[in-house]
This record gives sequence, C-alpha cells and structure tokens, in this order.
Amino acid sequence: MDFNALLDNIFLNDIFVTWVPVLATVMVMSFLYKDNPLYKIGENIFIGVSLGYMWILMWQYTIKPFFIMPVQDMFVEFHFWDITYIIWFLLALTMFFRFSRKKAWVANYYFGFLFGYTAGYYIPIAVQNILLQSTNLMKPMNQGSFFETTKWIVIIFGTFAALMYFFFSKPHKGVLGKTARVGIVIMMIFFGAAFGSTVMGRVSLFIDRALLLVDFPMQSIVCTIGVIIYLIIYFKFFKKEEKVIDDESFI
Amino acid sequence: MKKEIPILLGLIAGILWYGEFFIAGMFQENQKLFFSNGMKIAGVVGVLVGVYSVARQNYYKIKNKNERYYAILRVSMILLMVFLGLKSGTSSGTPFSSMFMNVYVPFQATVFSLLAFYIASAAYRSFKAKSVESAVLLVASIIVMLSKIPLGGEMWGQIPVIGEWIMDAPSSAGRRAIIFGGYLGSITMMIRIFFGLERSHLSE
Amino acid sequence: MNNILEKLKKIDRRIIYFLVFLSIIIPLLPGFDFLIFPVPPTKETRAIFDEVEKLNEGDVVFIDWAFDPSSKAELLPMFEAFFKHCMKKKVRVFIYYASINGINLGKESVKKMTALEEFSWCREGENYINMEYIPITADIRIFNMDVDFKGTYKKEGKIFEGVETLKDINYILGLSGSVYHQTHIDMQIRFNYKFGLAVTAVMGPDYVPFLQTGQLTGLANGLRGAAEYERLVSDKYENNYYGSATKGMSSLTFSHLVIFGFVIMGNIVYFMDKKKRG
Repeated sequence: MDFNALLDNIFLNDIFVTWVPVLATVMVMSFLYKDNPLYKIGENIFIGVSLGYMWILMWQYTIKPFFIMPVQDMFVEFHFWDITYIIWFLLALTMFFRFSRKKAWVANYYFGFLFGYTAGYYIPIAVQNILLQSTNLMKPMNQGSFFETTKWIVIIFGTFAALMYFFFSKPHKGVLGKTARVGIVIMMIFFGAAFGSTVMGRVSLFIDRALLLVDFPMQSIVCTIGVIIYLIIYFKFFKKEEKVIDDESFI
Repeated sequence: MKKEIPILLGLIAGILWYGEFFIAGMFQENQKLFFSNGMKIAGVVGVLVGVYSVARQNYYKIKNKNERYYAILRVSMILLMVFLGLKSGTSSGTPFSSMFMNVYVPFQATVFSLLAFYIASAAYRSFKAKSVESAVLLVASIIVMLSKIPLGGEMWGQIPVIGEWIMDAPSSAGRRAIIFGGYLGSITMMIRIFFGLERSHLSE
Repeated sequence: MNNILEKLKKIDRRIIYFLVFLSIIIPLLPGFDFLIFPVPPTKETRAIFDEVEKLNEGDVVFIDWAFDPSSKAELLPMFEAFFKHCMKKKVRVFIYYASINGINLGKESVKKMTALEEFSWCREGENYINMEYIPITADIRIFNMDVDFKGTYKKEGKIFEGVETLKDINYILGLSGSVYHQTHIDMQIRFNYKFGLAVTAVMGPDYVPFLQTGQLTGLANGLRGAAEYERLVSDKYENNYYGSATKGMSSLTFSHLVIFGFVIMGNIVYFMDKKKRG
C-alpha cells in the first residue's frame, strides 16, 4: 500500500468522518459545564488546524498566483506596467518595519498611501449615500394602506428624533429634550428588534450542531457518555472543586 | 520627513481617485488596474507578515514552560495540515479537505453555538423591565421574536404583520440615525486623513 | 415562598443550558415531524426569489460568499437553496469566496449538490465556477470588476463567454456574517447593479433601511430566511423539499418558547424581589 492510499484510508474512512465531528462537538460543549483540559485540547487542535489550513490556502490562492507567477512572467517578458508590481511590492514590504520600534516610521509610506487613496474614492461615495438616505426620507406621507402610511410617518419623524438625540452641542431641554426622549425610545426599539433577531441567530447556530448529533445517534450517545465520565473523574479526583459564585454579575 | 512624505503620497493618490469620480474615463484601463493589481501583491506581503507573527508567538509559547504542551499540540496540528495540503492538494475529497470538514468546521461551529446557551442565560438574568426604556426594548424584542417563529403566525395572524412593521418603521428609523452618523463621521475622518490632520495611522 | 424566590434568583446557569439543549434537540428527534409548521415567506425573501425568477437561461448570477463555518448554520442552507434555484433556472453561477475559511465548505457543498441526479448535467467551468479567493478588499475588487471581470480573478472557462464587466452580471447575492457587504451596498449607487443579501439574523435589522432605499433587492434573514427560500423553491419546482433550515424551524419555535419562559420568569422574580424590598 503506498503512502497516499494510506493517508486516504485514515482521513476519508467512515469512522473518521462520523466520529470525529461528533467528538469535536461534544468536546467543545463540555465547556458549558466548566472549563476543563478536554476543551483546552480541542481549542488548541482547532487553532492549529485553522492556521495550517489558512497557510496552505494562502499559498495556493494568494502567493502562488499573484506573486510567484507574475514574477516568473516578468522574467520571461518585461512589460512597462510590471513596474507597478515592483512599486507596490516595495511599498508593502515596509509593513515589516512595524515590528521594529525605532524604524516603525518606514511603514508610514505604505499606510499613508493606502489611507490617502481610500479617502479619495470613498468621500464621493459616502456623500452619495447620505444624499440617497435623505431623499428617501422626503416622501408623500399618504402611502395608501394604514400600515404603509404609519410606517413612513414613524420613519421620517423617528429618524429626525433619533438624530436629535445624537445632537450634543445644545443641552437636552425643552422641545429638544422631548424630541431626544422620543429618539431614545426609537433607538430602544431598534436595539430590541436587534436583540430579538440575535436570539434567533444564536439559537440557529446550535440547531445546526443538534442536527449533526441527531444524524449520528450512536456516535453522539457514546461520545457524550464518555465525556461525562471524563468530567466526573477529572473534577472528582484531579481537581478540587472551587466554590462557584453564581451571581448576577455572570455574563 | 517621517510623516510629511507619506501624507503627500496619500494626498496625490487621493486626489487622483477623487477626480476619477467626476471625470469618467480619466484613467486608462491600465492605470485603474495599477491600484487593484498592485494591491494583490500588497495582500501577499500582508500574509507573510501574518505568518511571521504567528510563528514568533508560538515560538515564545513553546519556550515558556507553563503552556508548552498546548503550544506543541498546536504547532503539530499546523504541521500536519501543511503536510497534508502539500502532499495531496486541497480540492474536495482529499485528506486535507476531510480534516477541514470534520475537524475545523465542527470545532468552529460549536464554539460559536455555545452563544445560544449564553444568550438564554443572559435573557433570564439581565433582560428585565427596570425602566420605561428597557420595557420598550423588552416588548419590541418579544414581538420580533414571536413574529420570527412559525408558531407566532399560527397563534394570531397579525403577529407577523406587527413584527414586520416594527422592523420596517421604528427599528429602521433608529438604524437610519446611526447610518447618518456613520457616514458623516467617516466623511469627516476621510477629509482629516486627506489633509494630514488625522495622523493616528502613522507611527512616530 | 421566600425560599423559592431565593432559589430562583440563584438558579444554576447549567439548568438553563440543559433546558435550552432539550428544547432544541427534542423536536429534531425522529417521530417529532408533526411539529414542523409551514413558514410563510416574507416580502424581503420573496424579492430575491422573484429577481432570480426573472432571469433567462444563460444569464449570470454572482454569489459573493463572505462567511466562515461559524455562521454556517444560518447561511449554508440559504446558499444551498439559492444554488439549487439557480441551477433549476439554468443560469450561470460564479461563486467567489471573500472569506478564505469558506472555500472548502463551499466546494464540498457544491460538490454534494451537483452529485445529485437532477443536476448531473452541471459542469464546473461551464454552468458554475468556483472563483476562490483574491487578496484585495471588496471596494477595489468592484472597481476592478468594472474594468476587467475575467482578469480580476485569473480564471479560465467557457462560463466567461460574454461576461466582460460588472454590467454583464444580472444579479449579485451576498452571503455574509459580517459588515463585509456594506461596501457593496455603498457602491451600488455608483455602479447600479442588482444586489440581494442573505445575512445572519444578528445583522438583519441593520440592513432594512437599505432595502427601503432600493440599494438592496431582497434580504434573507438568518435561518428563517433560508427556510422561506426553501419553501419558495419547493413550491415552484418540487413538492416536499425540506432542507436543513425547514427541519430546524420546529427547534427554533420551541427554544424560543423556552427563552420566553425564562424572560417572563426573570421579570416575575425581579418584581417580586423589588416588592419584597419595598
């Protein structure tokens, strides 16, 4: 059996494909009980795998096609525009000077250039967006149905009120104070809607994991029992349990 | 010298781009690609900087006695992935891809899925109607949550409509105020960078 | 009474975790299929579907994938439903991965779908293409695509026929779990492309104003949006196609009920405590 087939046999067989994801899931979930070495091992495996993955893909999709290939082409046939690559490369190399304390200013050439031209094209676009948002607020209020009409009334006055709340250069008293108060309520409704959506988002993250656990019932049961036994042994014999102060300050 | 020339460089590049917006076709095709193609090379150097920084950190961690074993585990995993990637490529159906799908994906997805439990705990502990504002927040979020789940519409047909109205009207108004603030702030910032008044991105 | 109040105040967080866990996992077990409620599509999700429905065979759809496995739960079902829909419409699909961590996830998912018998006619490089990753920011990439679409990505294939610039792309769908696609929205006014967005539920409310200004055509909001899209595709093309998003809806319902329970209980405890203290 040659080496490649051996690798395929290890990493592509059914045992690896079904047991490892379930074990990984249960290992990380053990953190919900308490921080433990099993979770730490999982965490470090994850960091290692992710870094290795990133490096390989960066090599494949970034360094090879956009650095090594152009340089090779440059040696075969030099175009005038290839100078731009050299200029950019030299500019970008100055980034390494950020690691040094005394010569950190050399990196300014790159960052100054980068920020400057970003500013150049972004200003017109931001102005366009502000104008679009403003024109969108200038609407006839009568939009037909009850919900549509009230919707635009609330949007127009609500945006105005919330902007008044952000208007700090005058004390919030009198009419301005009252408008700012409405603004706070509007902002609170926005945060409330965001929180409501967040609950849905967070729960669906676990639904995906639960679907995996349900898909491989045997593996999940065995792994869960194994991890629970490990936790009991670890906290009973190897680590004296500290008294957990579970007050409201948690989270 | 340390800051003036970089700012001048930025100003020239910025003015060119600023002009491009108003005079369509001011740049030749090649000139436009000067920025984008060049930036790819800059991105490559960014990757190298990242690799260097990771290697340096892990080296110090291994030297340090306390965290040595975890660091060794981490580094060996990096080496395993690099080895698999170089040996058999990265397309789907290779050991490299299998490691990604069966180790990386479950770990990352599960770490983030723990947030589901934390948000439930947080909802119990701190989501209380302590004042008028927080009562508004509570009611809005409960209506939105109800409108998101299929059961809400089954209970009362108007719940999804009201939930959508909240998302479309007051919530959108609050967000619009933030958007205005954001754009105005970024324009101010950009103009300050443009004229060299803002120098926090430059080091001494 | 006081005893119960004290106990409720100091309830162990792990009990809460366990109840949430049960509420999510029980509806997914076999035999609980009756808990799946129909999901009525909202107008935002339907807008994306309608835009794709308007396309003709051979039109160009660009999928901008900007999420990594951490938001896979919410966005992968949406990607699968959308890709399936595109293939049913026989449009050409370009998939670009703005997040390097998503590349293999996307490739495996596409491979899984094109292995299905109904899509056995799909060829990579002809009907769809993985554009992988290029190391530039979104704004510069859009500028670059406006000049030279093919040159931006350095890819070859029959699929590029007649696609010269950004104007030849009929629809762009962004899938993101971050603010990455704000750039696309900002630049939409200048380049005037049709842009739809599928986001994680956390980001949903942030993008509603852009829907109202017309910078976005359509917004799919988290797992619920994906379930709606699955429903729309299944209503139009095949009956009883349940993807993972539709399966998850019952869990979503019950876990929300449990969380409501906690919020209400937390408030009752708070007010009783306040009354007791005076």
